[in-house]
Amino acid sequence: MIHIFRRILNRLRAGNPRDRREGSSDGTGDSDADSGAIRTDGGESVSTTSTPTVSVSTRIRRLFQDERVAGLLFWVPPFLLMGWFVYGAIGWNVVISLTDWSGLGQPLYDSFDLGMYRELLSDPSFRVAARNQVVLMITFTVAALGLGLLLAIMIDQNIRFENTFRTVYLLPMALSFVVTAIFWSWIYNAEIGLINQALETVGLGAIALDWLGDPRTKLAAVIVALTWQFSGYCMIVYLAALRAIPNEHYEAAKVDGASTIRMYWRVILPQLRSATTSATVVLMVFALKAFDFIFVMFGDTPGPSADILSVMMFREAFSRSNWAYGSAVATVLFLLALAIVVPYLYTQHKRGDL
Amino acid sequence: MFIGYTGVDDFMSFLDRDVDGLEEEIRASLQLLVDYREYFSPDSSSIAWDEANGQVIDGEAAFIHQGDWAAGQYGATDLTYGEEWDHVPFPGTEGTYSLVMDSFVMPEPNPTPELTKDFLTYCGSIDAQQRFNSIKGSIPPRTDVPSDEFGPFLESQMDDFENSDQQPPTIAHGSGIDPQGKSVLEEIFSGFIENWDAEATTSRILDEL
Repeated sequence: MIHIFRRILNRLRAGNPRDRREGSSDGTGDSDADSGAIRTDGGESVSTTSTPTVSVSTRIRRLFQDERVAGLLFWVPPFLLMGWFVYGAIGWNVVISLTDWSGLGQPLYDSFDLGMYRELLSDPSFRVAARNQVVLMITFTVAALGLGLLLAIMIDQNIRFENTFRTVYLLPMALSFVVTAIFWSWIYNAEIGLINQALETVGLGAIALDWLGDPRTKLAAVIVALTWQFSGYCMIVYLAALRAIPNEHYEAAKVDGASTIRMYWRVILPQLRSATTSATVVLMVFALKAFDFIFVMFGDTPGPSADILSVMMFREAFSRSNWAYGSAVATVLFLLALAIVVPYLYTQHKRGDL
Repeated sequence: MFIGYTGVDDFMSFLDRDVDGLEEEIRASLQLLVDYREYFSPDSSSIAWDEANGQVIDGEAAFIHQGDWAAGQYGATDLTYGEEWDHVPFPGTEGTYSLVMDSFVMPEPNPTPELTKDFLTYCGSIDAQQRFNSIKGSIPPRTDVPSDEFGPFLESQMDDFENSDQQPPTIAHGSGIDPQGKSVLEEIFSGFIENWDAEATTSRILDEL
């Protein structure tokens, strides 16, 4: 986005003075096209008097040949749609979070304050949800990256049936969270679930827990299931990065007598940094909105051990009609997402990768 | 449990969020639940009521605390009511019939208000009450509907209903409290079934209701 804004800004800066200059010098075809462009920018007052000599249809045709005018067709519709439906909605959400709107009526926009945010800070539910959110974000991201890297390295060993394995590991990504949540809740079922049945079969019935009922394991159960679903994605990202490393690097490390572990640690892993960064951003932002999985498993009251901000936001807004309070939670979520995405975009921009 | 322990009047003031004088009653009811915890099925906090009911039918559990809708599941088996399965009122709640009502809406805007009115009038008639309830497994609120179509279980329910002194609404089905209060209580209880702390839960109820 930032990139696009900058381009638009540059265009405007570069465009305007030239338009004015050429608009005043009459006669040439170029200036006609440019003065036409000025009209679309609302610059009618500076248009010249000599232009009527060219027919209207020619002017329209020339108008569309102009790069800037043609460009408008590409960026204006998505810009307006994004501006209204995404940034407009975010802005309105922030506005609502400053009101006291709750219940079935319409919001009153007469006084704005940070009351809702103050209330958040003293709300034990929010503190618990925020804590779980951080735990989920960090453990899930680290686990998914680690597992994905392991899978990618194993698949990169020129194994047989490579495509089959790749598909098998990536397949969970293709399933809806509603499907995987229900199916993990069966796997975790305390009585008939796969895990506990397996534990009992091998004589470990003593450690068979009620995974989704026990507050000690609830969040961990969710993290394991999400890791399963996302490690395939990390595998693909890492696999692409591994394939981009020239074979010479492996060979050079081997010639220098590095062990396999040392080779990966010192030579290969450092080259996976940008893959890790982009996968981390995707995973963390996903963890912020990991709503569907928990909602399907537990409804909107997962209990203090598995509550996260997005579920709390839904509960406050849609179960309790505390619209302003729910919006405040949503704003916090948005700021967290920005805190993850902006540094990433900024470093990408600085490196010129954007 | 709260109704059984302290009665409908206190329950009604609980629903009115007038909980200040009820601290002791709330704590005692919650403590009762904590004390019974060792008898729950090990997976009680993660299964749905119909799965729990299935455990009773399969003989894995002794009993379940449920409404009359759970009876339909017994109807689908070959268990005989009164011999192989039965029900008793919750201890301490004799004379109380907790109401959960089925309802049809009259929407606004409505392109055919007259037809809707006709339909709703029919729903309230003896004929419709009999046809709807005997299949659904519920009982008619009218006392003049003949009970012979309903089978032995629903007949005894109709008797209980007619002879009840008090018919309080419920929290779980939203008829006794506004949606916000219901959601707040649900959150408090989702914490209670994790920490099983009657003391802390009582003070949360007093704070937030």
